[in-house]
Amino acid sequence: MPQKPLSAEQLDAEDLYEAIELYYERGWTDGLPVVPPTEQRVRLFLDAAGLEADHVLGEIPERDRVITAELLAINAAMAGCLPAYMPVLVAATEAITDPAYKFNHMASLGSPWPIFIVNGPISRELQFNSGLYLFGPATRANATCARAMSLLLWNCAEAKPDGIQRGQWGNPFRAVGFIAEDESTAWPPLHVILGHAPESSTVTAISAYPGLHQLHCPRSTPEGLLDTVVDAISTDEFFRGTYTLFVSPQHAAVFLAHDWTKRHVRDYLWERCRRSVADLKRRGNWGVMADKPEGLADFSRDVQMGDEQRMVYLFKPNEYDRFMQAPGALERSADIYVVVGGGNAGIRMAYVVPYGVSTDPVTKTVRPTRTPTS
Amino acid sequence: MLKVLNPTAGPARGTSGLAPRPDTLDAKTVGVIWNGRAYGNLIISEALDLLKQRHRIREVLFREKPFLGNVAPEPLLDEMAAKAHVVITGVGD
Repeated sequence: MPQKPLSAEQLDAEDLYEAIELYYERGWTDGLPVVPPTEQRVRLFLDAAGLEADHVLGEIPERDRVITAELLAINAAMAGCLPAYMPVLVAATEAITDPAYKFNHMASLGSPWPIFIVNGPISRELQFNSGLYLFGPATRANATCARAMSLLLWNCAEAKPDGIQRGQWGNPFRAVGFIAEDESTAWPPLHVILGHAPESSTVTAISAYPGLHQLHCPRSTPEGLLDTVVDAISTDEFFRGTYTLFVSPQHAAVFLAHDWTKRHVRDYLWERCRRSVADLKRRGNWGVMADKPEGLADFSRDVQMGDEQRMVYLFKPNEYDRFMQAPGALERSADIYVVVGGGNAGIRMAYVVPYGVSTDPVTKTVRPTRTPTS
Repeated sequence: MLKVLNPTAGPARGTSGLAPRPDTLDAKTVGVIWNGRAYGNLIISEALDLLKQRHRIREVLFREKPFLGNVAPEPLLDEMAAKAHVVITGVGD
């Protein structure tokens, strides 16, 4: 059992209600009441993770801060988590403090926030929701883990509107963006696609623009279903990155009945998501993110002869990238993660647009309770 | 009576403090790394004009980052380290 003393300042409160108000007064909550974290309660979280209080989970150099197991435990307790969620939250914290996640993008006007996808046996052991009402609110595990990550960065990295968070609209994933994949279909789950063992458990953090995009997909062939997605993604932000497509079990069955793998789905979108140069010019996207497009000889924002036939691909590198994609995006990964989830009945697919220009998704293994290390 | 815990990471550790400031900008080379945000260049240029009025700055190296979301490329940082006595950089809109 972890033995080291906690280092957090202790504050006195007359009773539970006064303690709740104290967190409002200090600006330590997101607008909802918190569960006041006592040392006794926080110790249960450290025990569940098998981590000493001063164990460093990650650093945020941009804020010159370190995230310790104690800080995560305090914020998780405040969010209403169960101590058993700690190993999952540890992996989530390690993901967003990984240099590849590139914390500084979180201050963007585009309000990016990570969605966290839990894979492997632990998602079922801890009863993370992967089904009906996937983006909730629905279950304690999903709702409180999402809030734990939100409070952690609120309190330890100033990721709040009066701190470094400069987002224009905010991001509802802060409250509901912690989900599990439905691993009951014949398709391999996300962590296996990414090279992890099926019996392992992982958390994947993907930085996303606000909101889930829901699509009405009434057709019943793989191509018919995906053509709706191609059309929608191609008319969205049109910035390269790792998109996440959520497929219901009912639609997964359609793909499986036609022997389509997740790779087939991914490749279908990869090959087809595109817009004509004329479309992009009419919409005003042409050259907006590119590096000094005015300096390029063949750059023009006016639709010109042949622009209807010239195609710009969203995922596939192509000759028009320099007019459409930010240089930062071209240095980052592009992919489509196919994740099964949501209610079994229903003809809607959904996707999430990534904040791809300066961050990559990160997957971390959930380790079982460990012997304490500092 | 209840004892509850402060959930914040506290003040920054201070491991990445400010670079030493020169006593004067006279005869110094001032580097600028503009992050590319619209109008940031105008604000920096205005600031440079004021500095030039108050100090006998030797030279200004005005450079732009290729992409605001990424750290400036190594060659640009090397150039600044080699030639500039002070560098103005930052994020702005």
